[in-house]
Amino acid sequence: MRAMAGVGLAALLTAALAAAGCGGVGTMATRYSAEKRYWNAQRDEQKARLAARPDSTTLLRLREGYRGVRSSVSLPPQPAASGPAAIEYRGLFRTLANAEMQAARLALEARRPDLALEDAQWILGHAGTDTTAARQADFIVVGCYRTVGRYDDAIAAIHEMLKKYPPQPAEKPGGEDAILSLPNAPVEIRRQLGDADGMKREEAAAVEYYRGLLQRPQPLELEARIRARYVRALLAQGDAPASLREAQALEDLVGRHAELKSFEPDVHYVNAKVHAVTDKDHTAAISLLERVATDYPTANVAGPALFESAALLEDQKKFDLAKQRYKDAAARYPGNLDVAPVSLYRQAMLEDRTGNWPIAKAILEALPLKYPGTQASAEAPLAIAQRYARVGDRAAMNVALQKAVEVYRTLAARDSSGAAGAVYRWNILKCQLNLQDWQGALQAVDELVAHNPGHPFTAQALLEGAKVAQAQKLVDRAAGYLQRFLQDYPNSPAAAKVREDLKGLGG
Amino acid sequence: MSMKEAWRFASASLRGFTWGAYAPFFWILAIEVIYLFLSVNLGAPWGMATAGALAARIAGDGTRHYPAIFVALPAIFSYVDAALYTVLGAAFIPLAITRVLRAPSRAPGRAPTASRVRGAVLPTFLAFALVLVLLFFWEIAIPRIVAPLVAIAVRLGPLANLVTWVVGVLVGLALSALALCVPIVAVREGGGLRALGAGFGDGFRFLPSNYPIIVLFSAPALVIQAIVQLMGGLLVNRLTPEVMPVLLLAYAILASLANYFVYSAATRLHASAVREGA
Repeated sequence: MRAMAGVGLAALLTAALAAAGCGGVGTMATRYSAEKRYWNAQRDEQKARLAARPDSTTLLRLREGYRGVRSSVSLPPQPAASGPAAIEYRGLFRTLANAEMQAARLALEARRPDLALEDAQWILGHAGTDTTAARQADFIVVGCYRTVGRYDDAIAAIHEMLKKYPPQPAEKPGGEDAILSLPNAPVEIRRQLGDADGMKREEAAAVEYYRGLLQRPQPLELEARIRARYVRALLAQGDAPASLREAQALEDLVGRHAELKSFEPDVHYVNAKVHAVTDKDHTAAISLLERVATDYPTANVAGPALFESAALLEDQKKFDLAKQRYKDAAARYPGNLDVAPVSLYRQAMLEDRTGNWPIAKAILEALPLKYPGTQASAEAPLAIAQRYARVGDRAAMNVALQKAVEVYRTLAARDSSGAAGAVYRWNILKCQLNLQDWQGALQAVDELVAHNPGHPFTAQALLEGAKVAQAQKLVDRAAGYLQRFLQDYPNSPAAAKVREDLKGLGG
Repeated sequence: MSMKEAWRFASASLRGFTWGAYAPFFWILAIEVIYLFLSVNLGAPWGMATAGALAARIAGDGTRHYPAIFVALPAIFSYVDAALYTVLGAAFIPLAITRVLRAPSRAPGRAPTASRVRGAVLPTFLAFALVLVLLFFWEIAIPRIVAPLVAIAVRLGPLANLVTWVVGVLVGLALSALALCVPIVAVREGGGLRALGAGFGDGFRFLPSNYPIIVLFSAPALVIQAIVQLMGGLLVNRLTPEVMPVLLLAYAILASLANYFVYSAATRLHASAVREGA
């Protein structure tokens, strides 16, 4: 009997050793080891986050856990042909790429976009034909460039992505490939930078991109999505005749195919938008937008439709109705960051305008708490001070400005190197200048230089800082700001004037 | 046979433990330990090629991933355990029984050990396979019949799961007890299909005595089985996935010893009853 057991065991081991020689099994085993490390890194992160809010040192330590996944295994050469070996290779690579993406996420959270860029570049260097992983890495690269203020590089990377990755049909019904919304990103970047010409260029590029896609045959649902985006891009560009024509084409397409019924809200929404642009009287557009929000309350376009109907009512000076629509939009779509914060802000403006300042003030004070990181949260504290300035209550204005500085400091600490952080610091500078707190103003300039180098607000802040320092007879500090300006913004139209000013300071 | 008698034979089997008689169970345990060792080493090609391939065959390709293998491991291990005890047990358990009955095997006029074991293989295999089929149908019936009845009758809320599990296991043990005497009869009275019928007959006859013995010796292993089956997902996700093979190892050791003591006590009990009958 012992002999029988021994023979069975020997047979088992022989089979194992024989199978272990197969390449697929080897890759599977390597993938399994990588998954184990990845799982442990995830668990370490969960534990750390449950214990306390991790600081940057902890985040970078946790990042090492994810990076250990890649360093613990060696990636075999990518199989040339498709087949089981290629599938196993892709499984292994995806595990490593996912771990690198988590590492990049933690690096960004720890305000180290340089490290995140390294992680993303490793993925790009090894992705080969895996466009899904490469796309995700490219999104990280764009995020890193934006974070470090390399806006031109970010825009160039986005254009490169649009060339590299054709949009794919949605994986889930009602979904949309993220690539389709990407042409809006350069427009937004230029808008944030206050570059009106650049914005127009990017709007034109977006229109061109969607038009190019429509010149090639596309799967039916994807074509409808592209057309919906195309009409909106045309509307943003202000091309009313073309948007009218394309809205009609979208409506015809959806009308011809029963399977595109889910696009009906989009069709009605773009039609309403076209009416808003082409009609002098906005009554029809308002009615159409309200119908979109009423008939399709769960559609993606329902929130924007309600907000835009309110904006058109405000244009018509129907303030009470507009206030109600803004209130509804914020209440019905509290999670939609494109709709809720700006709706609340506009409601507050109208409450003030119609004599309900206490309500307006309460809304404005709550905005930074409810929606930190949004444009509305950046505007709200200053709007309170501006209102007191308008009514001539200087003491209340100063109190509001001091409070605004505190709010912006808290918000900036949360979003230290992000785009919103630059806005908050710039607003701190504006508050300090109004409060005539010169030391505080110079400190705000230093903060911008340290956290948001390359940002247009930082350029403006350096010039303001030089003026303040000169007025305070801090000549060396003023010269330092101007030198930094020339170093960081050598091609600025203001550079020649700055050089002259610097000479005047003896620099 | 009274409970007192059952306890007497259970004590005798504990006192009469010998490595020689336990060895056949130990070999099955050794293979189970090797399987668990391979399962915790899917990161090595030889682990993936063996335990990984088996897991994929039984529970799907998803079990070749970490930590999915550890969630599926109790179910996969139960198949391995059942297969080993049905196939190898058909030979190893009669061998153990001959070693428990060491003295009578040397008695003049009786067949030699090897021949008695060979004769017992087929009826034992068929009996175990039949019990597996019964257990399979019983497992299907538990969630459809037993669980709703327990939920309605007992209204225990979260404890209903535990009560359902206990009912399921106790009935499962009773079904297994029916086949307990087949290898004993086959070894003592000669193999063949005749032993199958006589064995099941004795299984019914000695059920009131054998059943307490089975429950008594299985209790430690059942505690671990309950933890693994009722809290498996929780253990893997909240503690560490590797806790699962450790628990299964403890279960395998306790179940191996339980099987030995159950067969040892049941063999002694059966022999005594037959002697008294004679």
